Amino acid sequence: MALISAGTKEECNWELPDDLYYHKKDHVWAKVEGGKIRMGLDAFGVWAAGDLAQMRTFPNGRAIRKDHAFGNIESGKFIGPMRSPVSGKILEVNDAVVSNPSMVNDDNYNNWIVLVEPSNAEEDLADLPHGEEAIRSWMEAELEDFKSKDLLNCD
Amino acid sequence: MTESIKVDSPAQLQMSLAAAMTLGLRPGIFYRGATLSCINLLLTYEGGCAGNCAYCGLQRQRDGRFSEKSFIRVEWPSFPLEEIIARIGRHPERVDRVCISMVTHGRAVEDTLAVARSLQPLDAAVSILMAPTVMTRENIVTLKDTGAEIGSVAIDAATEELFDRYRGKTVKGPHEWERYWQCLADAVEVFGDSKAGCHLIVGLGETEREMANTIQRVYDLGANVHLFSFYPEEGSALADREACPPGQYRRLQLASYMIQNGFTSYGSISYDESGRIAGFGVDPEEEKIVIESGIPFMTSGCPGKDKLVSCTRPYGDGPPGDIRSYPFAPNMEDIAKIRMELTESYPGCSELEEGQ
Repeated sequence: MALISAGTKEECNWELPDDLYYHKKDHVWAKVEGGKIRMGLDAFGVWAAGDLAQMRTFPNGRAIRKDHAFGNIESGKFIGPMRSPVSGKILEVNDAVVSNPSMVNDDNYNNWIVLVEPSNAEEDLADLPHGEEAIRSWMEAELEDFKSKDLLNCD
Repeated sequence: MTESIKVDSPAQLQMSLAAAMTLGLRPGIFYRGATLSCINLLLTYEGGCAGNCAYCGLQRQRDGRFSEKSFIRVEWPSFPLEEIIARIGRHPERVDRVCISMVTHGRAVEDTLAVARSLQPLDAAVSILMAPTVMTRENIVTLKDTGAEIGSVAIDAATEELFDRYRGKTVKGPHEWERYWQCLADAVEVFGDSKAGCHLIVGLGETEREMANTIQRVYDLGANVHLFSFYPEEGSALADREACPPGQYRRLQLASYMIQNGFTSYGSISYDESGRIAGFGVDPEEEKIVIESGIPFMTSGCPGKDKLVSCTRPYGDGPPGDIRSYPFAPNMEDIAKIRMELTESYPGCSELEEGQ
């Protein structure tokens, strides 16, 4: 588990499990489960979006492409895409979460969003942060970027 | 004996979600990097607001505790006044202005004064969104003497008939049209020219002609117009009503800006038989330049130290995916969309059935 901290406030400490892979831009996590990939939003992504009010995804059976959106999220003050860490096909959408996205705010790692059958998992996952060191290095750069834009607000 | 927790103002105040994010009291970032430098505060009382405005999230007859009701699309979390002052003091670079919104409550005037006094040591201008129903002209003078720089009145409805229907007698509300206009006139007199503001909501059922007329009346008084696009507030009596169509709002944003800046006037604007704006009475080249500046379509609100608008209210009158009042300068893509919206066909809000 990589614990990333930007301040003493509880909400400015984020846990990113080191057995997951992460889409660097949109903070979508990917968990390898046999030949399938389960996806959701990581803790930092949930923090940045705020209280989620809306979520939309492509339906079951839809082909998706790495780095392309498979859905989007909306909170009171933010809207943004969820880009996929891998290419493949959506096998299952977690309808409970999509219809009540605040479940992601409550528990973002158990409340997954889509289950995907990947078409080229090995290659797609190869360049994504995985393991504590890689996650820490990526997140340090991410925090610096947020700080430089005065977006971190953790003091 | 345990100490009771103070939940009412002035010890406690609600704060807009956007302001709470600005001060780091709530997580989240703004879509497209919008910023806000006005901290919007709202008086809060266990007994709630005595008003019963049909479009407002705080209306008396809506179920739930006052402090837990959403307002202008989002939650307004509650914080102790001391914590708010400490947070503003820690981030002076982020805050140009603090706005205290009163609610209609017997203690609102004295509590607003108490909050305004507490804000005096801060390097931030103070605006008051006044509650005319519980105020006198003398109260306005006292607010100014306590450091308030701008006083605003939320008349909201463009016509007396709509005001009564949604805020007054029809909904058993305490508010009176004439009293609100008198309070605005008093605010201009007390605070000075362009130091008074008037909130107007586009899309409550008025025609564009009616709203343009009211906008002209506000400017003629010497006050500024702060325009909002109607958005149905969950749990309010108008929750099921459609949001104001973008075209109607865009035309009135443009009309308001051009009236304020002397490009046109209510009488020079032309209207079709349904009351829709058909022409702005401005040279087409001039109109094009004004539209392409994007400024008319930005949020209208109180100014900052070196900003046209401090109170940008990011995504306050529409979701971030369907922006009504731009909290930043619209880019070329936005302007292209605005151009299309400006000419969008009816039906507008005024054609919706009455009583929706």
